[in-house]
Amino acid sequence: MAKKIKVRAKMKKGLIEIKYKVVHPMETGRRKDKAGTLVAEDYINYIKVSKNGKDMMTLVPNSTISADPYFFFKMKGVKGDTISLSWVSNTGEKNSADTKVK
Amino acid sequence: MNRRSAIKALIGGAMALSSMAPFNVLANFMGKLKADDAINKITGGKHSESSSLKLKSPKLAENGTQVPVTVDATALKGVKSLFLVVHENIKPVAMRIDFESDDATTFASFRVKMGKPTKVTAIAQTSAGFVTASSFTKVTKGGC
Repeated sequence: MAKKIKVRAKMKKGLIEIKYKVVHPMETGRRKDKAGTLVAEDYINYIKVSKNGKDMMTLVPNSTISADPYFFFKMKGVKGDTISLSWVSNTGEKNSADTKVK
Repeated sequence: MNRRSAIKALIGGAMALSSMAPFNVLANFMGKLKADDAINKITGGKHSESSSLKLKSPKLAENGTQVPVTVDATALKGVKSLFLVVHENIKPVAMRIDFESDDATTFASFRVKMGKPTKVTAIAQTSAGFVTASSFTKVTKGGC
């Protein structure tokens, strides 16, 4: 299943404000499904944020981050910069998205 | 292979190793631990509270699966990493953020799961040492 990424990057008060949401269940490995079997652990454990190809920050979430993780952060920059985000989950699944700052 | 390329390969290998290192360290405190042990593992036991580090979490959260938390370390200088510890969770360390450029603002907002009413601690690693800030969130319906 393709897991969607929604990114919005906008200039506000001289800083780029980035809102980032991934559609991902973030299973902790402790939840049971309807049949009563445990759902296997499946969570994003690495996110990389870069601007114009240069690394800006690395996020290491644990399984205790909410389902459909949403992040909000800021960085210096100008209009037209390219923000790239990529994530990797503990199961090895990965995805990435690029967006231009508006 | 001549000498030059051998040296290059060596340096490349060393660099690959050093970039792997944080993840090995990480595994030590991302697992199932007592919160205080996790904090001591991160900071090495040396940390002080500061009002310059701002942690915003709700006093009362109705839904424990989606608790918004904001960590703001913009008042501190030389911040390298931020950590968030949710004390009552089975895996207390919820998040680690490493800042790799001066362009990145040391601020982040995200949502965390909380099992029950819990103390929340943010830790900032600065060039001068570790700084913490805590708050307490009541959860009416757990989500962990």
